[in-house]
Amino acid sequence: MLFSFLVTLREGVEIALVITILLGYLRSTGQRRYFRAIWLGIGVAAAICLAVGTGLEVASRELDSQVVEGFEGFTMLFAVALLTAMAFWMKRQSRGISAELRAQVDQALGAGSVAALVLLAASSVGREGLETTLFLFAGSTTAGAGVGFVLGGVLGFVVAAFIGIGIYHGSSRIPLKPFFTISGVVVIVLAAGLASNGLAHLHESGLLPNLGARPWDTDALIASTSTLGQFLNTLLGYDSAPALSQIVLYWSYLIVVAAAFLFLPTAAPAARRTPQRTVSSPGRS
Amino acid sequence: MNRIMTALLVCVALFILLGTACSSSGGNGRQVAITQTDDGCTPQSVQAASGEKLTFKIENQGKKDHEFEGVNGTKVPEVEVPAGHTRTVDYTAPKQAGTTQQIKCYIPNGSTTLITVTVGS
Repeated sequence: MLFSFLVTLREGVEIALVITILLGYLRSTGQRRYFRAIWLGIGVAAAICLAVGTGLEVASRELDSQVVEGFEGFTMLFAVALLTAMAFWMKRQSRGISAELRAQVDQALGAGSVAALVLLAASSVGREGLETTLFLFAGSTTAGAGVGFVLGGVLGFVVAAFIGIGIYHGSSRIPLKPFFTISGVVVIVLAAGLASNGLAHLHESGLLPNLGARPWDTDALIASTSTLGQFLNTLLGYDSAPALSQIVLYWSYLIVVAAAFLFLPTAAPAARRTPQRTVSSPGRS
Repeated sequence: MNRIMTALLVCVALFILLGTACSSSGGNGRQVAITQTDDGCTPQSVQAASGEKLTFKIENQGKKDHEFEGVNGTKVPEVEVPAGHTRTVDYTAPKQAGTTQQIKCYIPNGSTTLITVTVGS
């Protein structure tokens, strides 16, 4: 439950931020009549995400359990890669994103095309949405997912929506930078757990025959099948008898990525300041 | 602005409390020992009374990691039993007498045993 809440809260605020920038820009330039195009784009994005999520869920139910393990394992590792990339992207773009989106709105409207605006909203929201879908799917496979998981997810989105409304009306000044830094670290912790679980799933599918020795067994203390064990499993990747490769992957990922995320400097402003640069493609005509 | 961050932190803390409060480690049913070797799992059939709570105590005496999970709708959570380790899993038998349920006990890409649970009256 906490897993899905944290995921949808973080991703929801990202989505809300994108929407507020789009709507806020149209509002400030007196083009409220295009609001509908934005909402239409958001609707399209939501529909696509729901379809993808349903597809993943159906696929994982239809397949043979051992194939599912492999499928889930790969999905988890893919989610880890995507989440890591997005956490860094969000950090780099946290200031540039607004200018970039505005420029894209101008471009869409300059072309006189409402469809382009719908597409812009759909793609910028859809990207975040698909990330959320994948993240939730990867998490739900270990969560013993039930009502709580869904409830946590919905709650996260609701809180994110309120934050979004607050940003739009300027009534609440949410410290976005600390929010994205803290939630970025949370995402990295969740992703480390997913990475370790991903390995376990690949092992269970028979794709990885041996994960190495298992130095300890804490099952008597916190059983993997207990509610607490499953809770800690989704949140921190808890495994009562982790294999050496899981331990190494978990800690090296956590330490390296968290350190890079917290201490690497953000990209130089100059690199960000060139939106809509027409990329010439040499050698292709 | 600090108020919102505080509210968020309180939310998170609440969830953690909820998560831990609901936890129970189980192990309170009638104990049924399952033994795993690299050639399969024993016993292959288990008798249960209507609605009886069982606790499977699964001991992996083989050299390969085993999986233990309910199939075809049997409510047994999937559990991995690493070689040389022991795991316990709770299970509640269905109410209706005569029902049979199946649990799959297997080594990925290796031997598979279907354990049948039969509900008596």
